[in-house]
Amino acid sequence: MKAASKSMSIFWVATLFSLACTTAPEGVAEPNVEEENDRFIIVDRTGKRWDVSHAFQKYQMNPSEFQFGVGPNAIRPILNPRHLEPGQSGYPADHSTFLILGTTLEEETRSYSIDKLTFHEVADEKFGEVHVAVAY
Amino acid sequence: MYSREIDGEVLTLAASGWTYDYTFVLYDFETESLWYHLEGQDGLTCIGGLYKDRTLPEFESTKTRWNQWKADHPQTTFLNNTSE
Repeated sequence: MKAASKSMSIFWVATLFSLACTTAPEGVAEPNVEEENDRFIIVDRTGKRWDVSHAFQKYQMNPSEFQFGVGPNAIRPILNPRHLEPGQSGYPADHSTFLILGTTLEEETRSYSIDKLTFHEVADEKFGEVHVAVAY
Repeated sequence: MYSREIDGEVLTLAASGWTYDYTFVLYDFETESLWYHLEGQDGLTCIGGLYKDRTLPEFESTKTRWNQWKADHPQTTFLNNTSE
């Protein structure tokens, strides 16, 4: 079974809505779209400008349908993942039933709680010599 | 779960702060290219920036309950980042 990071959780919908309300109460989700000579620029809540011309022209992604734009520092990825081995303090009890994302790569089997991934969206990982983004 | 290697370079992926169709749009620190999981596509497609139209392949992963995963993979490690 593949577990792709396709849709956001209710947690993030609520959180992004809250962040967007805080920074721009007059327009919660809609981006500020600037059109310049066939280029489409969306401006996020921090003033950062993102060129989405190619997304529009090649993939029909409507610039006005990009949402929230809370800025790239609002949701921080896990850049230095640390893992517990079985038996170490803090390692979950076998009978716990929380949701996880698990994988085996390069003969290493790792797991990530969905709650933790939801909060950071991405963990930038390395399995052996293979660099992987764990996203949910 | 996606590769973050392209043309011999390693990318650092993160949330851009944007969503589209209720899905996060990611970006990479190194080039600020935008990456998105297009409907019906495997992997992340670069929708804008240096790597436009390139794909970061997806790796197999499993969403399940911890007790089931642990029973099937007794030696699994567990992410323990608590301070971020």
